[in-house]
Amino acid sequence: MSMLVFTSEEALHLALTSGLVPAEVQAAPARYHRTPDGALHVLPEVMPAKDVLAHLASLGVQVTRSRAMEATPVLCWAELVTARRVPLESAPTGPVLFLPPSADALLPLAGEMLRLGCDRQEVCFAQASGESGQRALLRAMAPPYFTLTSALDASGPLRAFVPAVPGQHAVWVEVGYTHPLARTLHAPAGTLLLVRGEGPWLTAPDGPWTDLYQHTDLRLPATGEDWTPAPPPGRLTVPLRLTRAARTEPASLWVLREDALAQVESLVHTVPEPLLAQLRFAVTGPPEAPCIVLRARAGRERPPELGLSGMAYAPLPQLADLFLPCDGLLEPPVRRDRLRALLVPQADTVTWLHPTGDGGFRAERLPESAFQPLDTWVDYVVDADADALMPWVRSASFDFAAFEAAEGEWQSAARAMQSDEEDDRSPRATRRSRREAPAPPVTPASPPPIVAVRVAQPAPTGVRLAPLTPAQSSAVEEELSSLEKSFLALEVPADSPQRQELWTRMAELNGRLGRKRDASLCWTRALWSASDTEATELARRWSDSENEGGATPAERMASPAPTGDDVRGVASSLVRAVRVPGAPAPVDVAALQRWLDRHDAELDVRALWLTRTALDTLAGGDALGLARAGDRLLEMLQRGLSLARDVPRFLRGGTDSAHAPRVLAQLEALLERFEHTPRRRSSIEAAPALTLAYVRYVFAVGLARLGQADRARPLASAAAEAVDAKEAIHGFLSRAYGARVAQALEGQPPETPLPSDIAAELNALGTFQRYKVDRLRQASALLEPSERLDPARAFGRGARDLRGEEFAALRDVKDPAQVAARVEALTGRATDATLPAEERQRIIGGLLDTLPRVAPARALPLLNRLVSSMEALPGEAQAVMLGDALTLAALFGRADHAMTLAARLRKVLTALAPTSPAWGQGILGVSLRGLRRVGLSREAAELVDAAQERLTGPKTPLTARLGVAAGLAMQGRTAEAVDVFDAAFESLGAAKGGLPERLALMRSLASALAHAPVELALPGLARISEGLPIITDSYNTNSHFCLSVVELADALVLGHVEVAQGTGARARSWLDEDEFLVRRRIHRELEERT
Amino acid sequence: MSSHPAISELTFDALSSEAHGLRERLNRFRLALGRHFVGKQTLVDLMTVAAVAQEPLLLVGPPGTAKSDLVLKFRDALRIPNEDYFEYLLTRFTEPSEVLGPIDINLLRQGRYIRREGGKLPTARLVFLDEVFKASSAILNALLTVINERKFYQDGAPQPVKLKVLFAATNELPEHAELGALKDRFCLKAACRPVQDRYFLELLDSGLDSQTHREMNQKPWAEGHATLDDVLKAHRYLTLMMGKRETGPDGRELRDRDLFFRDDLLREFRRVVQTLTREDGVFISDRKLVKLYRLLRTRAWIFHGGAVERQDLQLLSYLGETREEIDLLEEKVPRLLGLS
Ligand SMILES: Nc1ncnc2c1ncn2[C@@H]1O[C@H](COP(=O)(O)OP(=O)(O)O)[C@@H](O)[C@H]1O
Ligand SMILES: [Mg+2]
Repeated sequence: MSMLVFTSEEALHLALTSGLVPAEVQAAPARYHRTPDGALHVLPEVMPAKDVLAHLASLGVQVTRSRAMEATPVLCWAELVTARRVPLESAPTGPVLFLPPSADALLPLAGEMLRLGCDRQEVCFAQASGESGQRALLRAMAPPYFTLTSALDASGPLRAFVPAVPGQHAVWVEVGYTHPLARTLHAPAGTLLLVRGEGPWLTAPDGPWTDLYQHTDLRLPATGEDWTPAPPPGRLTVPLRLTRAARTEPASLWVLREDALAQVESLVHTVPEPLLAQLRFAVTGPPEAPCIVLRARAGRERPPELGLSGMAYAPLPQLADLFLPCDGLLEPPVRRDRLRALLVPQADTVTWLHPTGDGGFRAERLPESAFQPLDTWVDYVVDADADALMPWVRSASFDFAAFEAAEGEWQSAARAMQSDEEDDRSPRATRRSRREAPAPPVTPASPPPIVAVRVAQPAPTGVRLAPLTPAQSSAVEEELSSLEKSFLALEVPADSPQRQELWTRMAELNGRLGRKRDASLCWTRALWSASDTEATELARRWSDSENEGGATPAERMASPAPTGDDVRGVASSLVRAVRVPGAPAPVDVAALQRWLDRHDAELDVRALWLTRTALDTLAGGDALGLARAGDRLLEMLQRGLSLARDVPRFLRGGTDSAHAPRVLAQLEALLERFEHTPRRRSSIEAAPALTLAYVRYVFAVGLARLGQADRARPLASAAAEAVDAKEAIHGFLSRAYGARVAQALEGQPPETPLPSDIAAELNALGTFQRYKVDRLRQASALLEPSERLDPARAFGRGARDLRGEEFAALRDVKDPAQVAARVEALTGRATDATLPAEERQRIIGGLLDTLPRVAPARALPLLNRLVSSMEALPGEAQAVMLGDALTLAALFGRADHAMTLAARLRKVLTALAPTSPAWGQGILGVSLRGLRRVGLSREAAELVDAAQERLTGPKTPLTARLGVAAGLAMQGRTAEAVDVFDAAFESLGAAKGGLPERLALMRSLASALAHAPVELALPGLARISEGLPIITDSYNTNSHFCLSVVELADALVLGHVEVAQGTGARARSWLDEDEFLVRRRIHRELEERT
Repeated sequence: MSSHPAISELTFDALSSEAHGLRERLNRFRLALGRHFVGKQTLVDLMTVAAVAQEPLLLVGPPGTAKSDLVLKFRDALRIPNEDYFEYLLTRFTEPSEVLGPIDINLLRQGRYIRREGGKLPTARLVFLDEVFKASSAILNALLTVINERKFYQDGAPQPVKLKVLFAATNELPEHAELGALKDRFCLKAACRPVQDRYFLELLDSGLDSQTHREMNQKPWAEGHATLDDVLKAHRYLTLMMGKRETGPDGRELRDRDLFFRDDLLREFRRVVQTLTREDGVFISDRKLVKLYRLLRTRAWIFHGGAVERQDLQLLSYLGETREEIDLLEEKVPRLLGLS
């Protein structure tokens, strides 16, 4: 007898799968012996043919004579290959075959599964050939995991198997194992092959299978009892009543019965036109005492507060055309279809329940068509003509269709309805149809033309006497402001000649008004894009205006404390000296340079660059100095143009002066709301006075950002008084907010880091204190505008910086050269191909945060390296990082890089699941801003489109969609954004999800709304604040404040600030373009000159 | 207090001779105490097991469900004197000194930071902390060490505490990461539920009785069936027993589980743990597993004096970490075990 010797199991495996061993040989039984060194000696029952043996031998399979040894039998060769263990993650949903150790063990097994809810079980009993006697198999569909754990226990007696190939039921593999050849196996018809993980394979007859219940006798605890149906003993009477109850729906229907006309007249006199446009009206009753019904149009706007003395009604949430008094509800609650049949039997009518006292009511209704827009009723006339018009009411009117819904009515109607419904079930005999036909609605007469009087404009009141001096000044002012308006209205690129001209004019006018700083900002803008010849002229005029009647540059430089005017005077003279032939040139260039080094922080970015290039020219080329200046400027631009430093007043906060007062008024009202709204409070919520202190801080920072020093300061000190500054957490936060107020009032950009002494306090806090502080820093964008924090994780790890200690340490390094060297070394590590992905992600993330500290020339190549090593990272991580990289590219002013990155980002975003948390991280906003900074508005639009396309599905989280809506609004595509806003409001209204999600939604909504036009943004923000009464939490931060309340305040205040600062999409996108112009020239000149 | 050293020096043999009596007394104690409440026998049993095993127990439930009352009567019934008992209602304004003892001002002047611990947590053997999660971080941190290491820090130096039995109560289970550590220290967490739906009248009767007793300053539940010393002795007895190594008839060394935890029950134990972990995401740390073994053994000894039985595995119902898990497990574990 021959024996085949395979050197290893792999060799055998290969011989089997490659077909070297013919199928009929493999399928036949064999015996084998495994040597200690892993070789397999196989004694086949069916011997392969000679040529096969020869072939095998040529591949190193020895064929020898069999030696005497102990050999284990197998059913087929596949059994020689060992099965592998795999973890069982969850219970299979398909069939599982259980092999209990004996037939006796079957019953407890089946019983356990029955108990746990699995009753699709079949059993098969068989007489085993060996000594084991009766065997049994049990096949169960979707057995409980608990039962499988028994089979997973290798030392236990129970075995379980699942189909080797889903869908076939002949070959089964033991649960918890896979066998590499299982899919290729076949069992003879009528036989089951059971592939065991360890131990010999088994076969069993496939059936007969019988349902478990056939072997089960169910015993009832008592014999059944038959009941016979009997007719109901009588009708049930339920009085329907109107009871007083608090409701949240705002009034949207008013019935004016007394002095109706006068009330409407007063209304149209006092309510703004847009509000009137939301109202519709119908007149009814006798002409001498008409009754007027007003109704707010259903829609996304909340109905207006009208303060009318009539009865106010709100619709039932489940039945929009049935109105109940605002403080009333029907008792008992009745199903919607019943209510409809009882009270609103006809479509297209509006029904309201007029309370008649003691819970009784009368349903009154008008046809829908009786309502007309209120503004069509109003003719706007000037006062002078008022007497000529008399209000009158057309006699056409309607009578209310009414019926008392006292007890009897309800009973009968309810009965009628019940029998309608139960037609099929209840015996006919009990049905009595006594239902009264509801009164038919009155048909509307022709539209009632009613005239009210309203003053549209003040009538001219005689000749106006212009006071002398102020008049001139105001004429200049008027001219300036009209120029500013036309500037904003212009549809041409930022560097077009028309704008040039306007800048020059505005510069002059500002100069005449004595607004030197604004004048200077206009001059440098005019100069910025001017051609050479123009520039010469403009430089002369700028310098003239700066130095008009002032000291000479030399005198200015001699001043011990030069003012901004002095620095600009010197700067403009310097620029002029280089431009204008024959202009007086400074004698000591080096001294001038040193002086500027000390004082040029007073200059805006353009003036600064113009001065530095002028110095470069004067020095006959100073590449190093210029490069240094370039780096400095780009660092200044890191957060965009500084409103305070670089932007003329009319483009700054409260940009659109028409809107600023509205925003401020609403902010004040909002603060009042936070101060006085009673909230539901959790049992451990912080004392309201503490929370309020932080709310006040938040408002103080917001108002400070809007330049309201006289409001911000007192608010901040009121807040400071309410907390104990000696305590570590209150102390830090109090100082931090205070610093933010001061910074904002000084006009520093919001991203300015906290003063370093305050920031240093952070490291001194204990972990737990730090956690609480970080929670607030994370929740308050006004406190911490730029850091991405994750306090819980940081706390969990006790880490100073989540990106890792390297980066915490980097923060302490001050020397730029050292920073660059370390960043370079870390880049080397991050791009090392052997680095595990997670580690790579961590380091790249940290580096992207740090790169702005490195000079652009050094940083850009590093950025490129980092970006190309991101490729293999997960999509979400890539998306966030590409967004950051794009911002960096824009920061370095590299449109080419930004364009490539945008394309990549688009690709990554399109592959992201709509539910990915990455969407909520503001990547889109960051990237859009970056793209616009480098003038890539088409790419920005494409990115928004791509995201929008990806995020249309119904599963898309609202926060993600709001990100897109913000992008859309930023681009002026308001109409598309509104749908998302609506959906968000709806979700908030439905109070879905936990408070944290809702707060997150409120925050996203507020920040998205801030990009929409004022008319939409302000009411929207107000509406968000209506959620306040239910905001509370039981976080441990309640030792110091209620975080959620402060977070809501922060989201709302920030929304207002953003609305005010960027009023009008135009002004905002203008700022981005403006920044682009600055960057473009700096980059061009840097390249030309260095 | 002369008895403590005595207990800690008792030998296994000495305790063995007493074991039967101990068990009887403890069982009489728990059954008698249970009768002073309505529908709380399971909790009283659990408290007894936790006390003997010296594992902290957390009672979770809305106000007015007798959480405090359970502990108070437990204490009275064991006749624990004032110096061995400390109870405190924690709020976030509670100062560490209220729990750990005030700083000794005289020593502080000498630059030493020492708490005068008399009458506070460090000297008590039974401690009840009400609303435990409301405590400030300083207290929470101190509690962690107390529970973990039975120590607290005096002037930077570890100082042993006398704490043996810790009960805590809470109204809600906060889900903040920072409280997770403390939550994890309570191996057992049991819901304390209102019983009025099931036992309306009984509750009224029992409540009235309680009220009367309180006003008459009577404590009929202090029946003197068992004492704290009994609890401590039982603990020592079981500890010594579980640490014993015996040799079987075949010369093989027998472990505790060979004697007191049948293979098939160990399997069931493991299956329940596996199922809860996989299906419900309940986290059961390795440390907890060992504690569970000890708890199961303790319960088995108290209830039937011998090896672990299937019904003892009900203890696994108290592993939930959140309100939802607690509710789920109390229903699911008995169902898995076929005990419901
Ligand atoms: N199941 C109960 N059996 C007996 N008394 C009860 C029960 N539930 C509540 N009580 C009584 O209600 C009162 C309130 O209990 P208490 O221990 O203060 O509740 P908690 O600490 O949970 O807020 C106690 O007097 C207690 O006796
Ligand atoms: Mg209590």
